[in-house]
Amino acid sequence: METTQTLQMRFVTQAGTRVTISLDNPRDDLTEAEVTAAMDQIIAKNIFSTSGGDLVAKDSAQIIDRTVNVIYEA
Amino acid sequence: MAVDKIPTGTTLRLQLQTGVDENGDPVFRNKSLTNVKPEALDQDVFDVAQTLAGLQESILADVLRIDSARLEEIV
Repeated sequence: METTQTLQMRFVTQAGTRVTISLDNPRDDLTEAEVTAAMDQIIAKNIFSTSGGDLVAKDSAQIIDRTVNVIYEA
Repeated sequence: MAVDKIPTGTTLRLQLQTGVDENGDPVFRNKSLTNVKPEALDQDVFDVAQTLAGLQESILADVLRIDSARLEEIV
């Protein structure tokens, strides 16, 4: 059984669409303040451009746990 | 004949050290973020790379900026 974690940070674009930046292996001790500060910095630095335009606001952030159970392996 | 260079896109690549192999050599993994503005300042790209790397466990070994451009002949 193998578990992987992914941090997903969702942003709102100028056009109102949602864009996600994903990071594998987030730190176990991540705090909400750290993640929101990072998202605020990404918006402030404004280096990303999407089909919906610039990132303008934070939408949400979540950590996704994914567990793989191998049933059969040849 | 002159040639024009038109930026088409920029990618930010984080080279992350995820661990070491059985010989003690570092194991790297790349995380690429496309959709970086070609006109983005190096300092800003670097700062974002460090921020992103700070959220995860691996060590940030290198920050690469890959700029692509199209060459067009001016007639």
